[in-house]
Amino acid sequence: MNGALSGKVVIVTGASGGQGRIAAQLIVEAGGTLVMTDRDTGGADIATMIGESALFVEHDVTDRVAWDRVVAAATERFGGVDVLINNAAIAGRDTIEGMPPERLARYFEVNVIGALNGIQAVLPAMRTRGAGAIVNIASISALRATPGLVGYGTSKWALGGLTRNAAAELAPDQVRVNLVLPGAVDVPMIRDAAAPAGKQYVAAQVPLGRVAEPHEIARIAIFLASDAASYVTGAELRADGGWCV
Amino acid sequence: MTPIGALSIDEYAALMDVNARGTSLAMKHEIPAMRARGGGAICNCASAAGLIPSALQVAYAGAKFAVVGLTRGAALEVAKYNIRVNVVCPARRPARCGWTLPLRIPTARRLRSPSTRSAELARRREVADAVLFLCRDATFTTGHAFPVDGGRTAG
Repeated sequence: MNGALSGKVVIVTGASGGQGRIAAQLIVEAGGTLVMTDRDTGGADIATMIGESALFVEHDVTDRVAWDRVVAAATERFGGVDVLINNAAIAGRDTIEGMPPERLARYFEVNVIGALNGIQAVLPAMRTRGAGAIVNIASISALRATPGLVGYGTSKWALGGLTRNAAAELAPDQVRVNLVLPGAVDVPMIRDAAAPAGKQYVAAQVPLGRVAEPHEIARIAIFLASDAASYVTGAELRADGGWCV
Repeated sequence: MTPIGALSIDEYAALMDVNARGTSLAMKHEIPAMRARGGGAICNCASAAGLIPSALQVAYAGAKFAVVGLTRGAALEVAKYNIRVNVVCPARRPARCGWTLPLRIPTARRLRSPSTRSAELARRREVADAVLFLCRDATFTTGHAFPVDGGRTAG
C-alpha cells in the first residue's frame, strides 16, 4: 500500500497497544505522517524509531482537553489533520447479572465517547483541509452476541451507530466515517478477552482456520483512510476470516 | 425501471441469468482452479441494490441479492481451501433517508477531471480500487459485502 497515505497526517489512538503499534509502522510505510497517542507511553519508542514522520503524545481519549492538545500538536508539527483512527478501546468479560452500571458506563466512556471526543476535536481541522477520513475500530462483537461480552459488545454496537450517524452528518463536510470489524486478532487485548476459550479453540471457529495478524487489520484501516476509498462512507468492513458470514 | 406488474419473464430471466447464474458459473469454474493453486481470492460484483430494497427494480435487486447470497455461501464453503470470496456493492445514486451524499468532487482525481465522462471514469476507478483492495489487501476478509456507495446503504 505504498503511497496510499502520501501527504496525509494521521492520528492513531491506542497506539501503544498491539494493534496500534503495527498500524503506526504501516501508516508511515504508506507515506503518512503520524501522531500516535496513548495513555500508556509504551508506544513512544516506536515514534522515536520512526523518526521525523511520527510524534507520540501521552493522551487519554476520555480527556477532552487533552484532545485539543493532540490536534494542536498535529497542526503545529505536520500542518493539519487528514485522518483519525479511533483505535483505543478497553475490553473485558462481564455477565448481565454481574454488570454494575458504572462498569458499563466505563466501556462507553472509552469505546464510544472517546471516539466522539476525537471526531469533535479533529472536525475543525478537517474542515480547514476541506476533507477528512475517520476510521473507527470496532469488533465483530458489534455484529454478533457472545455470552460474557455484554459490556464490550454493547459499546462496540454503539460505536457502529456513532459511525453511521457521523457519516451521515459529516458527509457535507467531505468527511468520510467508516467502521472496521475485526474478529480474532493475535494481540494481547483480544487474547485476554478470549482467554477462557484459548487461541486454538478460537482459530477452529474461524472458517479461514486461523486468527488474524494485526497488520491485516491495519491494512484495512489504511485503505479506508486513503483516497482509494473516496466513495466509501458509513460502511463496515469485516475482517474476521468469515466468522460472521 | 419496471413496475413488477409489467415485468416480463424475459426481462426477469435476463437479469437472473447474467447476475446470479453468471456469478454462480464463474465461481463453479474458478474455485477448482484456485484449489489447485492452494488458494485464491474472488470478488463478485453486486450493487447497493443487493443490500437494500429497490422499488421499480425488483428483479434487478433480487438478482443482486442473489449475488450477495451466493458470495456468502461460497465463502463459508471454500474458506478451508484458503479461498476468500467477497462482493463489491457500488451505487451511483445518493442516500435514501434524507441525508444527501455530497461527495461532489471528493478527490483530486475528480478535481482534475470535471467533465461528466471523466467523473464516471473516476467513479469506476473507485469501484476498481475496492475490488483490488478486497482481492489483494483484505487477507482476513471473506464472505463480506462491501458497499462503495457514498453512504447509500448506511442511512
